[in-house]
Amino acid sequence: VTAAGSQRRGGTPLGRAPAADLGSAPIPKERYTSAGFARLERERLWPRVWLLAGLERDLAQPGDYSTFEIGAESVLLVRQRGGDVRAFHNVCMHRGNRLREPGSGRAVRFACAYHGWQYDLDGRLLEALDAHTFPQGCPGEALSLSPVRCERWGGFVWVNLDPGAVPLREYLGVLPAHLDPYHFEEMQILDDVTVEIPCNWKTSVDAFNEAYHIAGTHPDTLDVNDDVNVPIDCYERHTRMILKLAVASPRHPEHGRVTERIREHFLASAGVDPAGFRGGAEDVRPAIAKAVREVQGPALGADFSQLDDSQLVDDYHYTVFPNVTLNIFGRSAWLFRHRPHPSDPDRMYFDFWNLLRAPAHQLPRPAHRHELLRDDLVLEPVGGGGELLAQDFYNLPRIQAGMRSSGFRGLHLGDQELRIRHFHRVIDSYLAGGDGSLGG
Amino acid sequence: MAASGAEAALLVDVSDLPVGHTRRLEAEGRELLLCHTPEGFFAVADRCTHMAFSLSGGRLEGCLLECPLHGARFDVRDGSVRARPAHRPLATFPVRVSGARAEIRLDRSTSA
Repeated sequence: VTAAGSQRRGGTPLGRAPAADLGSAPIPKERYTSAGFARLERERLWPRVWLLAGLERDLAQPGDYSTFEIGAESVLLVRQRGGDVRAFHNVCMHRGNRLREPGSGRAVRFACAYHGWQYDLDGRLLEALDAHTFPQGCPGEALSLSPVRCERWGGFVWVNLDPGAVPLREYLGVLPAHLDPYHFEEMQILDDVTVEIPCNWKTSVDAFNEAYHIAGTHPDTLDVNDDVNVPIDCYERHTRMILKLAVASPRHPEHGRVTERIREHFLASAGVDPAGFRGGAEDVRPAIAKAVREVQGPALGADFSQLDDSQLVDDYHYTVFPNVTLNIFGRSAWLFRHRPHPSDPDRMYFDFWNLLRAPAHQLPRPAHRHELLRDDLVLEPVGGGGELLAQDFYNLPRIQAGMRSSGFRGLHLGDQELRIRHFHRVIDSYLAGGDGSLGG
Repeated sequence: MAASGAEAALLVDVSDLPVGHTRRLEAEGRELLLCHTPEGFFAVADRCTHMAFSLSGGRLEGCLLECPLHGARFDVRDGSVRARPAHRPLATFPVRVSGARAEIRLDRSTSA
């Protein structure tokens, strides 16, 4: 569909996944609203999947730490003196006090604020006050911090609460081969915001997991994207769709033409002089790709030769099971992480990371922001697009409320929403004790 | 670095102290931490008011300095506590910068 030509050297494989036959049954709405279903997820899903826990870039020096909150769990990621990154449950082994507040920082050791037990960066218990007064034995190695499986890929730190989990790369399947050419390890974070939203975490995943909503939710963008011809691929646990940008939708009256916003936004932002551009609609995307590769690449210090024209212009949209949405625009990416509330199925935490590949520049790391969703919240990320997110945010609490209506029967999904069906199948595999692989 | 006894001031070359970094200083029996923030230079006592641990290993983010032992945070502009478990503010010392030199007044600290 988009893959004209052959695979670039070291580039993303061009092959398509076999078509997935996932039936047409309705998706029960209780999966989004029931406390019982959320409990099943807490017992069988979250403790067994690899979770994106942090940015390796935030752990530059020994002692640098960041926390990752997932449901009732808090995990401490710590850069070791030897350079490795290790993860521990963020809890003192004495009386269960949290060791560190949510956030990041630099530690020389981790001291509990309750009775003062102290742990080294590698989790070893270093000091317990009056250790001789514990008749069951002096607190020592056996009371070191409880470790969590931790592996790294793509500049991201991942954790898995299951000590027997398959290795991260096995879990990610095709994703490293697809995504390594983007060099996420060279990306820096421009915006870092958490929005607390009154909806289920899956309501939020779904809202970005298809292009069918664009005409309804983002009708004012149909002059710059093709929401109709959207290839969908379902991999083992994960999925992808490709949303062509800098082209007007077949639903739009100016389809086939270079619309004003394609000219003023896409061509201009890539460094192509919009006034001087004389090409037709089919010439826009190659011109943008050429400018990004030849002008922006050197300016950013990034080598884009592993990415084809489509990858440098379009939105390569991946859902990394269970809770990461990646909108990749070649030189930049929007990453969404959808985290469940510890107990309430009607609440979730939406993490937004705006990433830019600019290895030649040392960009200031923004402080993390936490917001409660309100209708007038517009995040205003660097590079624009905040109104798009605001349109999706507007829907989320209303979808959640509507799903609780006795008049609503369940999700009635079409082919354009196949990834949502796949997402629920993978969840079902975990809830049934499986490992999420559908053999697809 | 030179301490002037008459005015109890400390002169420090700050040309090699980038924003986001700190430097531990000792003079006249005091332990100080000079912090280079996006808002300028600030000097505070280099002992967390919670357990007297040196703050010099902690991270400076903006104007917030974190204790590397328990994670208490202080605003180095006025020494105020911004995150527990500390309760008492840090002592601060006036800093005047001229070119690459910072002058820290040891005799005019806020009391912790």
